[in-house]
Amino acid sequence: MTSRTGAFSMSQFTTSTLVLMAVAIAINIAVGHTVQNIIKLPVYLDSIGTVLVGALAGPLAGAATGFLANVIWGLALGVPGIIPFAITAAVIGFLAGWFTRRGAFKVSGGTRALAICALAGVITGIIAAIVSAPIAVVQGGVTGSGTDALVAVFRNMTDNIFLANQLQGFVSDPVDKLVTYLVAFAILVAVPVTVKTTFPQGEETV
Amino acid sequence: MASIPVESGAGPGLAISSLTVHYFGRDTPALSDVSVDVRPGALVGVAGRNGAGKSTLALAAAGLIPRVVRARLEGTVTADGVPLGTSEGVASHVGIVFPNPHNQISATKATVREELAFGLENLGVARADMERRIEAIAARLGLSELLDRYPFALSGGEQQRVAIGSVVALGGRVLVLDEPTGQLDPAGTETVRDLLLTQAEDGTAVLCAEHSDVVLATADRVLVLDAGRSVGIATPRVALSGQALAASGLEPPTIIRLAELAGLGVDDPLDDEHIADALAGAAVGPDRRPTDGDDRSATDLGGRFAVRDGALLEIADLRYRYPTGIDAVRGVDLRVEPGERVAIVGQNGSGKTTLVKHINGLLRPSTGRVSLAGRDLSTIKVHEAARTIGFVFQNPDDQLFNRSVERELAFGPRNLAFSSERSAQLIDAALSAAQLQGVRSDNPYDLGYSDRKLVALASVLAMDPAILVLDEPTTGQDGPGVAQVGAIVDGLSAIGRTVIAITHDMEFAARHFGRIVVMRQGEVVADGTPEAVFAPGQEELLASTGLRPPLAARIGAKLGLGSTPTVDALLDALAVADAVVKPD
Amino acid sequence: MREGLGFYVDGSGWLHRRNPVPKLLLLIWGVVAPFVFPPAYAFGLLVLAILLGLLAELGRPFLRALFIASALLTTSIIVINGFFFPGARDVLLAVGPFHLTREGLEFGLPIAARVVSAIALTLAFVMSTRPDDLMEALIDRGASPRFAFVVLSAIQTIPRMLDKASRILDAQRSRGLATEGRFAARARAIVPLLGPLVIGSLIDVRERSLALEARAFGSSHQRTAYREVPIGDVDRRLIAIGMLLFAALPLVIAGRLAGLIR
Repeated sequence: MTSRTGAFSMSQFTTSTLVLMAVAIAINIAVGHTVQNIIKLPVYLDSIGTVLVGALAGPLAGAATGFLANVIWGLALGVPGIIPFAITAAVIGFLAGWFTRRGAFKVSGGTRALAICALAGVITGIIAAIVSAPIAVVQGGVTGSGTDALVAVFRNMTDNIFLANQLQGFVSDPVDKLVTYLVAFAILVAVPVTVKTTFPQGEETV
Repeated sequence: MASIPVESGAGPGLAISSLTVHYFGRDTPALSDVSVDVRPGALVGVAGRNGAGKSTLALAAAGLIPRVVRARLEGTVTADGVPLGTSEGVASHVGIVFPNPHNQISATKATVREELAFGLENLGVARADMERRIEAIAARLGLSELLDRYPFALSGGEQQRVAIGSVVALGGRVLVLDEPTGQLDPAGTETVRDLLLTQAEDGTAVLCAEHSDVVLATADRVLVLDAGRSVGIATPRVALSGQALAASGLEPPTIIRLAELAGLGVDDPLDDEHIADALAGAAVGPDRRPTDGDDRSATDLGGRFAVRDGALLEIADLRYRYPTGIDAVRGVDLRVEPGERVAIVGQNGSGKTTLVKHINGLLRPSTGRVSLAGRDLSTIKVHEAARTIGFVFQNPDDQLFNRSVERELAFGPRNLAFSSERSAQLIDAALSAAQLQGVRSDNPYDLGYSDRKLVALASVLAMDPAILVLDEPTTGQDGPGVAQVGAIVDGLSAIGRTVIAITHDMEFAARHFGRIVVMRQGEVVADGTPEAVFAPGQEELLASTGLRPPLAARIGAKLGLGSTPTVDALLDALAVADAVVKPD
Repeated sequence: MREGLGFYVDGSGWLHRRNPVPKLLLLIWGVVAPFVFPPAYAFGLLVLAILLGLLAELGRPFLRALFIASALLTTSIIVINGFFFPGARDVLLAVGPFHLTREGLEFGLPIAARVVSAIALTLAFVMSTRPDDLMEALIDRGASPRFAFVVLSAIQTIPRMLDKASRILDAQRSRGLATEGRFAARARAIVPLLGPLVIGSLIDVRERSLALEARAFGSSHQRTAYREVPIGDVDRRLIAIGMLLFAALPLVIAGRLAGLIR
């Protein structure tokens, strides 16, 4: 595709994109499970599907995927607590699409592209932390996961609950999103061009 | 062979005229000037190697090019008189079915009944009308007993029949299929073949791209494609003969080879009876033995891989119960000597995969013992067992992730911390064994499914295993791909390695394996040479686990020649019989 | 549980027979309301939510799921707030250097009640509502069928994706990949395990899209629905009640600001 659709264009939602979105939501969950329960690493990577939709289909498709993924996850696993974070997930998907248009996943771009990718991951993580912190406070500042320990540490250091969550987010989110972006980059290197270009924004990841 | 003239007018059925398809960014067209006409009631097969243009023809015939798949298209395609250009309403004129059963389920419906309604909903058919059409289609296609099942819980063959039903339900009288049996076992293949024949009898025009001779041999005509061009179109007996296929890189299916040898008439039906009768009357002396390349000899691996004794594998009273409570393996004893070639056969659910997963520790026995060269496997980690045992899974896409074939092959040796010289040498050896040298820098996912399977196999060969376990190595392979796998099996055995394969392909098992283990409901019910297992009188036992002896064995049995599991054995037996009957 | 329908449990209770739309409306209200009402009200709603699940004949599976979903989160909320509440002085219990404070519990317990009642309501909803019914009902009210496709397809794809992940794990371990042991070794396993999952799924998207197109998915026809999702008088009344309950929320907020509700 030579002409680029707008970041907010509904033309991102082709049949291929819709199929991809459904698959990506399932990928988020399967990856989250693999990374946390099988290889037991201290990251989530459970927005990698969302990031890939943003990258391949566009910012709006990425945002929609992130949003739906959290809602479905919350309902499917009976943890409504994560549903409010759908807003964060939507922002992550949107940013992935936006950064892709600025070369974050230009896999032929060598070291420079990789640097953009890493930077985009870190920035996404910081923005995600900013968006998440007020949502987390509503729930008493915890998510029921390992990062709660960090919250405890920061609460010992500050008197402000909001700030404690913000600090927790500023530590774990950028690391998680940095790794997510780099892993997405490594995978996109091996995806054939013919497959990428079946999606509206695939050219940007060649 | 003569080309059948193409109707230029737009009559009923499918009419493809001078079709050329050019994908953007490719130098050569995927199809050049192909014409084929499928009348209502006809089943036309399309044969050709992977990459010959079969899928492109199917996509164009279903009106998906250029509307959905972007490409430049010249020529015309009409279904029931309606030109399939860019209009979106083609789904109600022509249906298409793809190779992977699970990719064609909408994944939004809880029952087959609703799955059949999916397209009707999209076309805006009234609810009362939908109900009537679903019932009618289900009755006609034999899907009635599946209507309340969950689509993803069906077998591959059942899913393909539902896929056919869900496009036929839209009312089109033209049905296009792209390798519909490529991912199915023999039983599934036969049910799909039967359904296609019923569809044709009902007056549907059926165009079916296929590798399986089970389907091709029953077609009215077969179009052979080679590198995007039509080699010709004729009855299967003519189109698939050695002579006609010579240029296309395909080899004639066994049934055609035997028909040719028997001198079966061009118009005679291609079935066991007719071939046996004709063979009984034909003189098949040594001079009439075909010198075809199909019997390609074992790939010589001796120069590239070290001659090394496989390890003795002992399985004693193995039982395995899944956490769900299902007893998948119920007391199996098996002793596999170094260098043996063992084929494990039996219907789906008979415990084959569960059994072999114990060989490298992916599963731990519930009771019983698995040992390798005397060492109990229960204490060895899977990634350590990989030093001795190579395991190639059915779906290559469950393991490939590198950007080039060469990098993919390097993954295993790196995990095993081989020295760089040893890795490089093994990678070269594996590439050449699988004949992949020409694509070593290609992205595996740019290759066809057949080649991806070979890449997966080569990536395990590069780990230099003493024992190689293959799960369904020929499923989804085209003819030359099957021959390549067979040659590797023979080659490995020649250098002392053990090969254990799960397969549904009895011809492949009989030809390349010295020992056949038949499983049924978690137990071994027969274990012996192909001659013993496929001997006359064993039909009932085999049928009890969904199997049928290979064609050569069936014909040999019909002719009273004893056990002839391979074509060679059959021909030898015929020659002996000839010499006895006609001593001159 | 029925295959392909997520967490839905077959049943014919009162809640099962309701149209999904009023249920969804009341679910959203029930999750939002505890944050609007003063903290103490959360305990009342929690009791109501659990009763609802039991009255809906969801029984033991409901309670079990509720326990699994809320145990860790509740513990976390109580521990973090109880022991680490900034500025708290009224120590109830000292465990080594950690002090359980009254202020922390007063802050944490209502939050835990809110969260658990939200979980209970959500479970009662998903266990009594077929996702396909929910989507048809939403399409009926103007939602896009294409959006419904994504949701339903995702729900059915999740278990299949987990199966694929487990096949990939088997395949790569068989190729000598270590998935346990040192951190560096485990980190190296990420791409070999995630790569085939993502790439294989992307490859399948093409065939799946084509198959959908062949079933007129991209068609511009006005879609019809095969599934009927009846809506009865009770459902209509529940929708009206739901609307009123939502209308009441601003009043509650106003009342709290004015100091009338505590």
